[in-house]
Amino acid sequence: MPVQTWPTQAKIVRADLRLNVPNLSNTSPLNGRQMRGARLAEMWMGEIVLAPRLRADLDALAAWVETLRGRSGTFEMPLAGGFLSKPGIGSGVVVTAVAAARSVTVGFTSTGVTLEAGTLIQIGETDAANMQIVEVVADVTTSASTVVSIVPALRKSYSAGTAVKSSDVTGRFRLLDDSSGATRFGIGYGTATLSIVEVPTIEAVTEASECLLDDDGSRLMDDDGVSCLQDDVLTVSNLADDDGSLLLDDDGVSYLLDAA
Amino acid sequence: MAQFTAPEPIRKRSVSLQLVTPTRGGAGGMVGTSGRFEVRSGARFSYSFEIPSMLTTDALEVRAWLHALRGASNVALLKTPPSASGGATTASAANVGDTVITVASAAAAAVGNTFVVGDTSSAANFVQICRVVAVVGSAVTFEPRLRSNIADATLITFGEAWARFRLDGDTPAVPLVPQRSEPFGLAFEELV
Repeated sequence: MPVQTWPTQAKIVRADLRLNVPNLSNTSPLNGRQMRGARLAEMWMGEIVLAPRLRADLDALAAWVETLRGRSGTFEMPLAGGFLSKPGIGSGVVVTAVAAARSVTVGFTSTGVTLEAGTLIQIGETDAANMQIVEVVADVTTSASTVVSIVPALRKSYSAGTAVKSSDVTGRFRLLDDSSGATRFGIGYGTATLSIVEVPTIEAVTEASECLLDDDGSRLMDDDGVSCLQDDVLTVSNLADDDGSLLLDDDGVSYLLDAA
Repeated sequence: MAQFTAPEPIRKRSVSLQLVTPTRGGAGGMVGTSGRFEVRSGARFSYSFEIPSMLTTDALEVRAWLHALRGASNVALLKTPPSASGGATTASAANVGDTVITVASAAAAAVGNTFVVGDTSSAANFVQICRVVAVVGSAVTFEPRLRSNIADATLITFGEAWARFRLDGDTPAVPLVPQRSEPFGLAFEELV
């Protein structure tokens, strides 16, 4: 299924977006100390409220939501230029050095620009396999050697020269549950609410003649944990099989983030 | 485990700072009684408050701070609420488990006031929140028990003071609307 573009009728009037951070959590029975650790599966998620101006726009939005086919569809949503981010770096900026996966810092070529905490930055082009949206954690004025603290941690490594921008930032999302068309798209007082979750992009898979392999050689499976995925052509950013099930590595746990 | 100081735009209302003491059922409870409970280790303060509406630029700064905490895995530095009386002094050496310390000046040590033992200037420093339950001369009795030995001349700050916390639960969303944020609540627990 192709990635759906953001409908022109959709004006965001409220956004409760947050980074979901699954924590490893335990409290010692001996001394009550907390033991916590963040897992590397942080994703943007939350609710957005849309306010179409006309009834016809609302109908068009409803149709657009239904074309997403529950959780299987992916859509692009603008994240900058409104009240979701702050202005930041200009155009033509690239990553200065290799930024390793799991890193929480990244360096840019932009110099002399003040980036404020809360600025959203897009690393990689929107249609790139490794595009990721990150947020600046602390105010910083960039220089040739500046590294910027970000959240979430990078999912993949980025080579020097990867494009970076903070204007026209576009994230990729999907609905949070299959029933969104029926229940989440509630209409009240002229607004519509959608629950969404980020879709971590994967690299293009254009053919599925045999078992698809991850780049570490492990087989891709449906989330039923049994069948080897053989049954459809996949497209970029579609993490779902053609039956709508999520793709997992054969370790049965992790979402596919790293397919070749 | 990194520390992130609460950004300046944070304002608090409906503030609650409460000691939570975990217990477990002990032997000897009889039918028709409420049983007996023993104090376990790990008593800590829970800290919750509401953040009123903010301008978008401030709200985004707060959002970045909350995300930097990465759920409960990193440490939030927050100021405890002010008391009727406050100020810094020092305490004599005390041992883990003690509930009485001798302070150089007990002028701000009113019953019910909170105080922070130690300071957050270094991540290695021991820091604990306590609440005064009695004052006799320079001897201050408090709850909960000290979780660590403290050296002579350890800093004690009554009233508003920096302390270490973790988010209690999932990272909350900062509800953004054009121009501003809506009020929202935050809940933390003291780092133990």
